[in-house]
Amino acid sequence: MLTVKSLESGYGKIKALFGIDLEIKQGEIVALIGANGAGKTTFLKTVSGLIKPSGGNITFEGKRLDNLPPETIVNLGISHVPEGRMIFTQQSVETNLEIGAFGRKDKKEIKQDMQKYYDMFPILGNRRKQKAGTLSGGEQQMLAIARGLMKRPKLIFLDEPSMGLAPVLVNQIFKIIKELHQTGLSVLLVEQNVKKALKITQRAYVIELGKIVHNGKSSELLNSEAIRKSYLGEA
Amino acid sequence: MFFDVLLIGIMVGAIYTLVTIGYSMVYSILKLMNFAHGDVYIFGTFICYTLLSKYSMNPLVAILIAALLGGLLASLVEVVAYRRLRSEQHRMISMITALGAAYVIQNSNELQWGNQVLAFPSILTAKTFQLFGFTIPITQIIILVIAVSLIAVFTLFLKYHPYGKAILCVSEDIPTASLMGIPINKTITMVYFIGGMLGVVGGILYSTSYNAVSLAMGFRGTIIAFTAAVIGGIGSLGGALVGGMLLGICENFIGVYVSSSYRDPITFLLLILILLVKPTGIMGSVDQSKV
Repeated sequence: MLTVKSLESGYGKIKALFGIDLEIKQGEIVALIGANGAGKTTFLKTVSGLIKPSGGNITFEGKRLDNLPPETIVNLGISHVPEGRMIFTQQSVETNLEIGAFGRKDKKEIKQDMQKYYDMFPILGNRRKQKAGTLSGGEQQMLAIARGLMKRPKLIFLDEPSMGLAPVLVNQIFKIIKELHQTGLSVLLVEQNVKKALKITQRAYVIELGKIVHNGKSSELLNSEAIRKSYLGEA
Repeated sequence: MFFDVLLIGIMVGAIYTLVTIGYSMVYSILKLMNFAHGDVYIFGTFICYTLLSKYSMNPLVAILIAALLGGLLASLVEVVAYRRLRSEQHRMISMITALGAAYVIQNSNELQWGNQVLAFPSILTAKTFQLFGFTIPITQIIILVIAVSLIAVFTLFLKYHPYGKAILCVSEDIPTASLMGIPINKTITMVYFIGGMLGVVGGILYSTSYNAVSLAMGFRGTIIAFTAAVIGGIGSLGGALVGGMLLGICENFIGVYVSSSYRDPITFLLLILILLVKPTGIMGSVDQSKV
């Protein structure tokens, strides 16, 4: 579905990715883990078009994505739920969801989708007219995910969805991600919560200083000595 | 007397609001002071002047053509002078190209229409009517109605139209808006187009009520738009309304009750005082709630 080959990218003259190879197959849930500053977010931003790659190529369902603008890439079926949620705080919950469906013409089905996410996240339904900025961190994360789903993507990028949330909410978010995958959605999950990420994903890539250093089945990585030492804080 | 001055003040205020909206929207999206704004609106007003006085065109058609051309010029300025610089870290750079664009348009206007005050034709009736013992000129009422309806239409557009909502989201966060599939370039060009159009209509209404159009009104338009936007709270539509009204009303009261030569100094003194008390402008708020 998504094939990334020797991707290089960065910010101006500062390079952050040095030849990343990564693949996501239809219906897979994959984790991308690594320390702060390893290049996880840069990778997502480059694939979704926010940053222009300086080398390599990105193919999604047979189509080259590199050098397409983000608004075209999202319409091809990749939804990027950004780090820090980045909901539109001055707009209502409802408007945030509507904007997530920007460009879709099927008004009736948009309404149905919105209702679906109000049912999935009742708190959003209760607060649909409220400014999104008044929601709590966990609610904002749910809104960000629901907004990302309004496009009916084939593949969704989730960048640190559990960041800054209370433990009970973290569990809830991970449960939601698992359920989304079970509906057939392909997921690329970027997480610092390595243990939890490896538990709900099928495969994982480990990124260090802009390079992939490990990849394999999540269950195997969870038990690997190197991962346990570096990322799970176990001796 | 008091009532007459107030009515004219409100009318001028509504016109200022029209001129301010485009300026304020551009600022809220790009954090760019669009120095060319006033020169664009006076260009459109000049176009309307030519269509009316040289070609005796139907006023409504003339206003429409002038507004469209003004909108196109505003978008052209965006595409040529600002777009490529949008990703630059230093906003100072686009500030300079904005100034450059302003001078290019200003000088082109001068080549075409000169720098003298030209007599703008009255396109509205000079009749008056009586209400509760007051004599009310119909012109001012018509101008007020046109200005207020345009402001209302634009407000509704922002609130309910998908592209209106897209504009608001782009003004909040450009990268995230692009992740939603909103075409950023198209949206920003649209903001310039609408802003230019509203500004031209404001310019025409102003010129027809004072029977005058001149090059100098262009620069003054930029200053008015900037001041009204800042007083009211830059970036917000309500702010443009409050700032525009306040400026229009104050100006007229000072002009009549003090002296027209003190009009601008006192008005701008007021600006300083308001900003000292409330730096974000009357309707402005500090960007809250980014958790």
